[in-house]
Amino acid sequence: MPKVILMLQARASLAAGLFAFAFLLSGCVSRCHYQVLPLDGTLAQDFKLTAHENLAGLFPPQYRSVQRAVITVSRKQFTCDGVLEVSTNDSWNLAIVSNLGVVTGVRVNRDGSSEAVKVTPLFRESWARQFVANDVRRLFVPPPEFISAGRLDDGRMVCETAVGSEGGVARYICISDGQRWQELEVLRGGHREYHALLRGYRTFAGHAREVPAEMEVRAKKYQLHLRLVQLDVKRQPAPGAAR
Amino acid sequence: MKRLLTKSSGIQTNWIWLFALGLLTAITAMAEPTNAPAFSLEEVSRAMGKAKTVFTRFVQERHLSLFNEPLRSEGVLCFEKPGRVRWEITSPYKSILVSDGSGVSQFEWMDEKWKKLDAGLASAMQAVIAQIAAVMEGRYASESRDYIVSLAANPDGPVITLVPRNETMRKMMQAIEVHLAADLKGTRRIVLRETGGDFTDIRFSEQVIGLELPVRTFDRNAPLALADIVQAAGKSKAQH
Repeated sequence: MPKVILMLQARASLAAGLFAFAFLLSGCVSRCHYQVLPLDGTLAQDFKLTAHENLAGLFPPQYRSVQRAVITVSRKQFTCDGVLEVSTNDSWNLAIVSNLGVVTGVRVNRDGSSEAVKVTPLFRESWARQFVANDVRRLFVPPPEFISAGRLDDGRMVCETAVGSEGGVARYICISDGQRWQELEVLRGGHREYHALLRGYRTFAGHAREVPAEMEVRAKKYQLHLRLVQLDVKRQPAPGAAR
Repeated sequence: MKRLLTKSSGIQTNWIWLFALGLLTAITAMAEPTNAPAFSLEEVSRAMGKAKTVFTRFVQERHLSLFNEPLRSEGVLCFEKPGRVRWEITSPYKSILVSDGSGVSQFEWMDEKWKKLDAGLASAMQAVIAQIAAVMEGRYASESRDYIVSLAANPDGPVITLVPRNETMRKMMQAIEVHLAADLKGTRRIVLRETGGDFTDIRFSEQVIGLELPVRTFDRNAPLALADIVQAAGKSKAQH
């Protein structure tokens, strides 16, 4: 009889353990995915427009920025500098530079397409296009049109894009008035595969708006901590100016 | 990515070595001046071995073909025999790469404090530091297995040029130029010329040689604040 009790106790412990584990997992999932409450149609439309306008004008139309990046891969950290130049030719050009020279260079076009413009033996071209271009696209390129908007249970606003060419839905989370972008999630098949936190808002000379100077990314295969350390606004030539 | 980094780590190691060798050449060339107006590589090498400590500021400009304007950074370089190096960027961000001779640590200034990184390629970096000792011992010119070393006269001072012997290396790095002061009292600049036209130009200033560097200058866990090192360098310069 005692043996039976012990067996039952053991099974109960195992079940409790599994339950606790499952609970923890479910807790993690619910923590990662917010409950989005729908907005009234007009309100949703207004918010989508406001949020999109704000995100589109977050950075100057033309600029050159320098970022310091710490990339974590399998708990090992690597540092590099990023130089991002946005010009009138509707593209975002990023070069990643280490102490060893240029590691890679990518161009992201306004239509979302991308190409590796500098390939070195230090960095695979496919990796540049797959990961680096995605970071540029997600963190610096204004999002396409939002198809839905809602409010999170903590009061913040959220806007979602349609499913993109890469197969994911991007969810932009802003503070309650929609004026400041705080987070970005990319969801695929209901699972979050990319998460960015944006903070450290500050102004740079020549650009009145505050921009996020700190970006923390958690992606499937890497983590990225990005600090915007320099932002030089490029002035557009006045219409009719002599060339 | 890990796989990619691992695969390329051999190449990266070489690049780090190249980069460090350039710096080390600068460091070691900041040795006691020779009186001879003309000198050989061997003489430069001998002079190198005499410098026990070096403090210097630098401005680094990376000229990239992808952009019109160079990427500029500033910082401080400290060296102490045997094999202690501190490469600190002060602008536009703060970062420290430091070796105490037995290992390498990297720190980044984040959230208003220094954060020690679990640096990748640490063993490769340490291998670089080991090369420093060899250079400091003056074996640089006589044991140039990896580079073709040449010395040229220039109106502003002699220029040592290192061209990688390895063809794969040459595909990435054409040459390293070390521009010495005419009297060998210091290194004016180092230019790392990459294949394809990109180059990194490092200009040195305010060099102090043979100073007493504070104890924790090369501490891999809690490196001394730069202000204290600068103060020590200032005192040493004033005394000389």
